[in-house]
Amino acid sequence: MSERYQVNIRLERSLIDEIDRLADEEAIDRSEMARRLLGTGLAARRMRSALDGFRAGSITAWRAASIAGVSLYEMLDRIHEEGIPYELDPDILDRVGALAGSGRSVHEEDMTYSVEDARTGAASEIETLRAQFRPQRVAMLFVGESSPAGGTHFYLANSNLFRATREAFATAFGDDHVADGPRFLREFQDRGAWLVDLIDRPVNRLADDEREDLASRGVAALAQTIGEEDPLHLVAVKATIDDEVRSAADVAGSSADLLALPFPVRQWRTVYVRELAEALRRWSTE
Amino acid sequence: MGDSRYLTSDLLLDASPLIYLAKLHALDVLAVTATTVHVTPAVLEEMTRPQVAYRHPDAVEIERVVAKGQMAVVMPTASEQEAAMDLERRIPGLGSGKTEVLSIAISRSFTAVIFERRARRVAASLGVKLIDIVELLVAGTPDPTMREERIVRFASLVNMRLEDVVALLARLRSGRLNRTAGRNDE
Repeated sequence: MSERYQVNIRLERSLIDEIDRLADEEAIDRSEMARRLLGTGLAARRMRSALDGFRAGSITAWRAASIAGVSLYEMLDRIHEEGIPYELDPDILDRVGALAGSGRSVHEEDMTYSVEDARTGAASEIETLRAQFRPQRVAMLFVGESSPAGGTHFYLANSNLFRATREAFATAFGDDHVADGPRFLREFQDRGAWLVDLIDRPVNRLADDEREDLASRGVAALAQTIGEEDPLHLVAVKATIDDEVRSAADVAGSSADLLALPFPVRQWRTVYVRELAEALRRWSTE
Repeated sequence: MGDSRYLTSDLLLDASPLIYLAKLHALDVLAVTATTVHVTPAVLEEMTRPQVAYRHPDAVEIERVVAKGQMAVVMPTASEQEAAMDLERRIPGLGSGKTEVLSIAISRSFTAVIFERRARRVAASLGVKLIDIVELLVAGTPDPTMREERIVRFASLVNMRLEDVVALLARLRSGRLNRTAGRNDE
């Protein structure tokens, strides 16, 4: 056993009670539990520092692994979980184009086709995509009911919600000032907007009562997200979930205003676009 | 003079690209993209040390490639080690493994594969020739369907931005269309 030193620190009563409770659960004494908690806390702190350094580009993955005290394999997994994106070199497209036997530029029809390819290959990666498009500061938190079961999604740039939302932004800020196609996702992010789902699985093929039950259970998770992101505005993307979104905001103690919109299909698309566009204009001048 | 069938004659791999190729089961691309593939002892040690390898099946794939003689371990000379230490002092954050890769690539004119953008920029400023992992996957995977599948899987592993994935796939697709059109014209 390595040498140990006596350290005296003052702790709040509540913290000591919590340590004692955990120590009792594991049938160890208070000092041993405190040592274990310190060890875990320090490891978490080292990992955070390593990930922050890697994200900032100041250290390599290998160096980050060394700081965090883990293997490079584990570090690469953590980098993936953190959603830190791989930075392509600016000229990589030209180099790949040359390798593939083509120098022509990317046309819109290619983009559409390729989004479909990306969708097929990475359908299970919605959460990864969502994390990639999370703004540094979330000003507008859009809340959808769930990802649709049909394989489309806002963050795959191929859903009704994606197209209607892009149209609302174009209505609010001018078509020439809003990116089209998949590039709109980056613009959505840059404007501080982020879309999360109330329910973590597709519900569009479930019965109404099952759907409502899942929505009620999603409130706690949404409250946590609202608490963490502290958005200025909440947008409930479906009239029937505004109660859940309001409840989650209350639980989180959020003072964000809530805009409840219908889901943009059939006759509701026009209403969705008009009301969202009006809100975007209003919020942009605040 | 290199063999024109290959992207490069001597390829020097850093640790992270090697792990990603193993995760993708795409180590086969190395044999068709370079005449000789090298790794440094530090990289190999990081990949395959027993206390790590038993938890990561990808390490077995890497060991197998080395055992088959498809990847050579390149020992740094004393002057390369000295240059690596000098780089480590001058550019903090790179770490000793990376600076060793850079110093060997510089002194022997090897083409390097490096994961991090900042390290690639440093390498480029030092005159190191670079190949991206994406290029290895494209050049080393002749089957178009498998090539696209590997690109999508790699993109997912490294959190590549959606617009980058879309643009990459568009380039691959347009290249295939052009080649097909060229054959039809013949």
